[in-house]
Amino acid sequence: MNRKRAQGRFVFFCIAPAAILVTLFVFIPTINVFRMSLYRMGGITNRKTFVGLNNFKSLFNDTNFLQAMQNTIAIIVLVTICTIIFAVLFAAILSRSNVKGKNFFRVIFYIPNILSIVVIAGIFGAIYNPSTGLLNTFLEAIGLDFLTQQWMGNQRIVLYSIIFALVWQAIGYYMVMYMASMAAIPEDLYEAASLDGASEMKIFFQVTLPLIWSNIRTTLTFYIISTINLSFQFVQIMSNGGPNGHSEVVLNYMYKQAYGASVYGYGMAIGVVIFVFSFALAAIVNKITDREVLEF
Amino acid sequence: MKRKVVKKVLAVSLVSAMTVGLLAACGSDSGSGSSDGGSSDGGSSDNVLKVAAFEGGNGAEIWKQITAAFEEEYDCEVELELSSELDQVLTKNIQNGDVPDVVYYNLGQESGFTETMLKEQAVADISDVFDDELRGKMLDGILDGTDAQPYGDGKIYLAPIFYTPTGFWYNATLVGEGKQYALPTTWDEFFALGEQAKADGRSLFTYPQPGYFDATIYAMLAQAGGLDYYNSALEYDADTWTSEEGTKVLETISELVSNYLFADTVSNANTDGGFKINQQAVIDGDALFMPNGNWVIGEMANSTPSDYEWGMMGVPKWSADETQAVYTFTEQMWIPADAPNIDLAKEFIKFMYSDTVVDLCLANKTTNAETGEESDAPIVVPVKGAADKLPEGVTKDSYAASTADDVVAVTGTWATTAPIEGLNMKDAVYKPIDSISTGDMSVEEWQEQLVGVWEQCAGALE
Repeated sequence: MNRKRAQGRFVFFCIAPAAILVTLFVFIPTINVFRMSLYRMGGITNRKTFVGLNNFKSLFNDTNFLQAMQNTIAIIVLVTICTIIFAVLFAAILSRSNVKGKNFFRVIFYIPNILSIVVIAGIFGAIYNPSTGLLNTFLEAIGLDFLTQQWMGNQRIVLYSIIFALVWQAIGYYMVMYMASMAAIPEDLYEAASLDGASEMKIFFQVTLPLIWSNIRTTLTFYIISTINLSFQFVQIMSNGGPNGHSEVVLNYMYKQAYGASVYGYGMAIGVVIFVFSFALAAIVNKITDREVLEF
Repeated sequence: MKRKVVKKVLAVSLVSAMTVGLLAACGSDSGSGSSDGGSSDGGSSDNVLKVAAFEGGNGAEIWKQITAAFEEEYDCEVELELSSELDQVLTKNIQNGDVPDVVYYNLGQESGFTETMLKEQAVADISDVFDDELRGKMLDGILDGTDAQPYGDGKIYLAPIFYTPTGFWYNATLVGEGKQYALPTTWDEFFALGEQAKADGRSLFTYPQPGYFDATIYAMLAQAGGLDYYNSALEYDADTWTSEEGTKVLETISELVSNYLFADTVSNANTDGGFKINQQAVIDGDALFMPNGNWVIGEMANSTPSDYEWGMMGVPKWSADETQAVYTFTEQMWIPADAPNIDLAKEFIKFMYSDTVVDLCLANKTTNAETGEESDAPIVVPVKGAADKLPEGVTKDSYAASTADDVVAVTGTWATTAPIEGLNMKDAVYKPIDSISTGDMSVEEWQEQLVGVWEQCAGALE
């Protein structure tokens, strides 16, 4: 009995620090964001007025916010689809077929994850530069002048330019995750399938994909969270929401409102909406991708 | 058994050490930073003045010299807080109750720090600093604009301590008397020059970022409708943009950016640091004119060829016989309403207009962080005669142009309103210019948007 108590005390002391830190740096700030979203405040002095849900009401009439939200959703959807397709494809090729220099490619694909976002955004800024950038210069060199564009200046293209950069940096990371779960699939399943005369394509859809499904489901949540966060960093460096708000994303808009427009409480209300939105989206995605887990 | 106990004790002590370490690291460290001066007890002794200054293009040295001169003359102690991220430093300090006595931080910055302080009614009324003697010494009209009287109530809250005339900066190696292109004065001449430049493969115009149109639009409004119209526009008169004058301003800007803009302008304008690429286009001769202020000389010094010449002219007029309006950009110093030592702070602001400070500012030098080279970076205090002491050159010419007899100097910014959720003035007023230049937005749409913004602002005017 005494020993059990001692053990309990030991466990308590070991968990307490982590619990205190999480409470202090995660729970309390989150609760504070919710609380501050109910006030009209500038965020510098401690003057504030309680306005109830007024900030949220203004939010849904704010066309700039709605545009930013629309852009964010477009980015999440397109980045997720493109990254999944390419990451799974490359993972399958690298782990299933006998490509020469497999390890080399694995390293190359993973490199973007070692670079900081600021560096990647800087690289793409240089690639997209209209007169000296790699992209336009390359198109001109191969005689495709008519395809050259103001990649960051044309408001109908700018969002896709940013999406491309996001996909480029994400592929390697997810590819390595998918490769890890593909490596865990027993070889005899593949042997059995090929003895039955299944084509490579069929094997991929009937064996590989169902067996890494739970891994893909987990990564879907990662896509949502990381795209919301990373799109903010990319947009801040590559376009700052321009031209004229056509590449604005919610986090950047929240930042501008909270720290540049004297409406800190309103910024916090945007924060609350993003919080609820990402949770809800992750829950919905999790629900609709729910399948019976196949074991091997 | 004993080993187990040792293990447990070790585990618990390691975990505790980690927690204490983390928490300690998060504690505030009042000892660090670039705070100069002796006591840091946060006390409000009558003899200690806390000065917080933004460290920007003017460099840090000038503030050390000014505060040292003040200490000597007033026999007091100055604690100087210098930071290039002053808004963040002060936000933290003010929330902790550590309010500085006097702050140098301009209107119109990305952080909107000064605007927020004004909107929170947290800036002190300093009208009594500007007695008749000081007013007589200062440039005429410099205290009358909304950048000194932000609420438009006749009271001064922001002291204009430095000023810079703005206008179109141009490549004077190519444009000017006896050069390849003649200097235009009216919009018709300006656009004709645009056609001429186009034929030579150059663009007439570029802008670093759409926000740089602020001074241009202020000057154009004053040019189009005179000072009464201009002042009512700053206070959100409902007819500002639908009137003949307002429409003329918007249509002229639209013609300028739709037909004569350097093609890469918008792409560069929004990327981080891209404004310098647009400024470089003027130096390289790809574009001829851009809206700017004389800080551009120092900002681009590293990439300016030695034989290159800058020129500055006022924003073009609609007809040759109109009086030229030149917008003067001012930099502001103010006192927080909760400052512990307001009296001494007011003396400090007065001191900013003394001959000592005027001379120190004119002799200012900055050091290039990359090359370590020291170069002249004179700052001009808005007192009569200060600009005359500048060395000969484009900077002196630009000041002379703003005070010439046939010129109206215009100051002011859009009046301060109560905070409006979802509205960022710079984004709402100037960013549509990006879309207009690419043909994705029409003048009518821009006009409609501005009328909406003006309606919102007029409703929130305090």
